[in-house]
Amino acid sequence: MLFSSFTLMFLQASITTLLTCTVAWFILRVTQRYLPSMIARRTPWLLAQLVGATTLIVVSSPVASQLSLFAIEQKPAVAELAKHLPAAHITEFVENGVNNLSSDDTLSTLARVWLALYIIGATWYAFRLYQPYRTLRALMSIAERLDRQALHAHRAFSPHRSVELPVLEVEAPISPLLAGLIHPVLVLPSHMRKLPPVQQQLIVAHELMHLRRRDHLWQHASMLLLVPLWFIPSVYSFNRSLRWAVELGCDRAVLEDRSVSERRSYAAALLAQLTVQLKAGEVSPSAPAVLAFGFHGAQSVAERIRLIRDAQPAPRPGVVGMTTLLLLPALCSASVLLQPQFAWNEPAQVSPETAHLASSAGMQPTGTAWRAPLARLYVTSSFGSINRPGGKPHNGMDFGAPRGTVVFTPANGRVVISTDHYEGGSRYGKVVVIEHDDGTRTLYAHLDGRTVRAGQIVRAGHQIALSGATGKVTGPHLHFEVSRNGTHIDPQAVLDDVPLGPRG
Amino acid sequence: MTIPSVTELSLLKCLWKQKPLSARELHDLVAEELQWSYSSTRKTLERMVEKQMVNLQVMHGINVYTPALDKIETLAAFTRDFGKRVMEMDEPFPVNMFTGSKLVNPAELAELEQILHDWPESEE
Repeated sequence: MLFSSFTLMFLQASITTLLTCTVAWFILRVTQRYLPSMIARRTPWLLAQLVGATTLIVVSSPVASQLSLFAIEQKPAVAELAKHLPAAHITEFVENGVNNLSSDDTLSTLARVWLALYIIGATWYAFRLYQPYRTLRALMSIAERLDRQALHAHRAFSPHRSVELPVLEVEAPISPLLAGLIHPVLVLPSHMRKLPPVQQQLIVAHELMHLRRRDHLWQHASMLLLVPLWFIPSVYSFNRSLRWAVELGCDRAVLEDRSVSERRSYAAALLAQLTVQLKAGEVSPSAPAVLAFGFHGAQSVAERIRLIRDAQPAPRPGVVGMTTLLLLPALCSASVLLQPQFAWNEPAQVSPETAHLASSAGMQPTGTAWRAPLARLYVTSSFGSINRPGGKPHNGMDFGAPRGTVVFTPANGRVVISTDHYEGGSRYGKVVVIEHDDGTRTLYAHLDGRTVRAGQIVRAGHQIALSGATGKVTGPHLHFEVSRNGTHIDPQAVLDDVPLGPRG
Repeated sequence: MTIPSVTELSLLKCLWKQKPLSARELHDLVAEELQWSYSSTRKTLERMVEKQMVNLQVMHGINVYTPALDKIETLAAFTRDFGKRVMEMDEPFPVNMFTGSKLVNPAELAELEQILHDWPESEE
């Protein structure tokens, strides 16, 4: 049941993230229309991806239900009805409840299928992203490292006294590139030496500017964020925009304060490089010509060359830009806060025990914040009682229950202990302890079986165990303790309407 | 043409520089780069002979290897493969490339050359 609640939450988170990212995409596109210089900015695109990832994590985590403005309300609907309706109607209601259950089942199956698909998709995508690294490693292996002397002789490096990163040269018509995350490497094609020295120097300046701007970190971050968000189309668009922004931003930084002729050399170098790559592509008989040229290839390159030509200084991020940047985190918070709480009806709510609960309408804790831990409460010993073996005041309450009766959580919380040896002994038998959101702890002892693990998040009404007669007992019952700040309190304080049994 | 793997390329690279070489000589050249044992070098060479990437000869009683693949052709094939992977992939490639990860076709290139041709005159 817990697993199913996670899958449902994850489904909800996925849908929310999809919507959030799509809205972010619209915001960014509209802003870009009013603020064309945003095309060379990296922050909005990476931020949009971060917003997506944060939304996915926060909404699928149990924290979301507490952050949501629509806090979950447990509706003891069956019990409410039971108060007012004769037994025959209750049976009818419960039957309807069972029908509802089957639609819940469809949803939870859907959620499970989605989780499985998500994991497969993310794995496959991560694998695909790993492929380029292998290709790159192969490229490095055929490249020759240029030593200090070779670097000195290379005309592209004449303005630089020393180069802070390894430089490789490869006899392949590739584009000059900066590769690696932690130890970046500059890879230059040997054909570059044929270009005029000014162009060579500008190319190297471009690559070194990437390094100075830490573009490789941005690019890797954006790429890694694609893995968890692989199912969202707009995220790919964010990534493409970021890659493009990285190149344009770098061009702008390199060409700042450069003359018109240097700008022309820069554009010429870019064109020369593209020509070489185009020729290399033509040689290949297998290269599908259309595919290789990607979507809006030349249009963007033309745009880039125009930007190089027009020499616009980097504009300060204006009001519109700043507003957009603030809008993105706001969007993230909104999507978390306005999270609709589809009260995920756990099957327990309409289980046979609940049907039983309905028929014995006087016995459930309606009107309390907390649900009863058992569907039917039959108190055999109350808090503070000394009328028991041992004679010490009772730390909790005992509810008589046949072995195998389902034990529910009274309120949302986290399982902190789930053990067969509570406090190192077997006196308590099998024990589950839950810490609730307000810091109150509840303990369930002498259980027949535990159905939760320590660390699990549970919601009110979840099954956590089956009651039994383990440990030091004279018969099957549930020992229920409530403690606040380390002191035991009377469970009746949190569960009112508890009927006092004959031996109360 | 089969595209050699990374390790096969390392061995080929040595043979392109200097040939023929014995397995031991080759191993000494690649040991630092590949961080593996002599037997791995032997096994790789054995497979490369099977794949006709290297030729095996006996010289003065020892086995020596010469490259069967041409350097230029192999690198060209490798580069095509590399370029294809980089350019056709819509996924991001984890490098900062000077040209960006986009290719152009001849018509588009002509358009770009036109922009370059119409470049404004230098004010200097």
